[in-house]
Amino acid sequence: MNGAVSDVAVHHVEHVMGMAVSIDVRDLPAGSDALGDVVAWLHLVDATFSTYRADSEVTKLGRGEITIDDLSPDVEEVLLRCIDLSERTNGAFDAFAVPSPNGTTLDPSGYVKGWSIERAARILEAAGATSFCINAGGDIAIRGVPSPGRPWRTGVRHPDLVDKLAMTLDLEGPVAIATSATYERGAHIVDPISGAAVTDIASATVIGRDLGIADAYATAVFVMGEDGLEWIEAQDGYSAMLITHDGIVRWSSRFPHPLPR
Amino acid sequence: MGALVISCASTGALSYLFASSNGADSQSTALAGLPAPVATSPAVTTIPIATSATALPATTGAATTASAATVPAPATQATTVPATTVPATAVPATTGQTGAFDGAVVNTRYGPVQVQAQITNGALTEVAVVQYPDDDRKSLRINERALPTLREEALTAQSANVDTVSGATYTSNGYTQSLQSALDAARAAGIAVAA
Repeated sequence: MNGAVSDVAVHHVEHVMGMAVSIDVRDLPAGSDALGDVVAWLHLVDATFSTYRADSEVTKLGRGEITIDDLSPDVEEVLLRCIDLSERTNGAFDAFAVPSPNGTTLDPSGYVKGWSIERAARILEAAGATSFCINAGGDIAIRGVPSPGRPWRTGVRHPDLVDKLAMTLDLEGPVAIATSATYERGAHIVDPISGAAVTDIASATVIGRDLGIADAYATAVFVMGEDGLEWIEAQDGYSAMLITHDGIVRWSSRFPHPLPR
Repeated sequence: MGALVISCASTGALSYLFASSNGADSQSTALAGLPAPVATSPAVTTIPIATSATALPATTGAATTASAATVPAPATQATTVPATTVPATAVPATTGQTGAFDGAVVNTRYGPVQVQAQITNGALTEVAVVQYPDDDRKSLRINERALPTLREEALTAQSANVDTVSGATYTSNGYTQSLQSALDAARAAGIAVAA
């Protein structure tokens, strides 16, 4: 339980999957191995799904070195969900038709990160933790509140200024928030339909229950642009915010309103 | 039992995607040619518009083909809804006030429009439409598109005490420069950042 005497607060940053994963648990039962289990899980995901590794299952599948009959249950689950997400986003999120770092067109990374963090959250919950925040390269899974009566104060990065925020939101778990943007790697997000890089949107942020879906939807809304704000109105439980390069912030009706300044 | 059924159906879906593969080369070809499901999907611009009167976000200038056919969107949406003038007159000059403030009723060529601004601690936190022309289908559709343009603001740079930061931080170098890395370093030093 939150605040129990035998609970401890732990904070750990693991560099894995080419990014930093910040794990902030406020009530891990003393003596629990869950943090180590989470770290081991994330490295397993990297070995299995990385599109930068020649020996990962995903790279081998993309290159035709293995077939779907050889897939592990986790890879099969992820690919099936990617098919579903491609349909739900009318192709704006597509793990099967975009340039992959391994030279193929198979890249489920846009879903894998959030999906794996949700699994990590379940590992912590199974150990008894109720109050934590896992931030994987800016995509965040939140549970509970950091202390009684106080929500997680969550900033959304300013697209042009690395140390500034565009917005601050108060969030209570269970909830997830994901942001897609080009400010770090340039215009690398490609519209699967047109094949062209998206250039007019600075960042897209999606809030909803599942981080894997929120992550994929953030990519989709980024690709759709203004139409994405309309599209997400029909996605039950999910909301979005867009920041354009001309400095306008727009959000869908269910997006948590910015706090008064 | 149910899981087994799902698993069978699932494998079928995967087989569809990877069906024509017999070797490494043809596998790659199959993947490269995969936009098949995408190509048959409707283009982004033909996504049906939601019908809720209050649900639509800002879409100025982004009218879809469908809406253009049924509703000739007004060329000057800004005059349809006085988005700038009403909140300006409704917001009290003093800071720190909280309450709901009605704007003036403004007659537009589509009928009278009035908005209500919710002020919390001196800041505009919500804008609701309390009166709008709804006497016919045309006016209602115009409202759907025009009114939600209020869900926007100018981008500002804020510094704030936060627990965590959402952003696209894909690389180790990007992380090193990020606010999140500063938060992590502070936590590692035993400093509670957000109180």
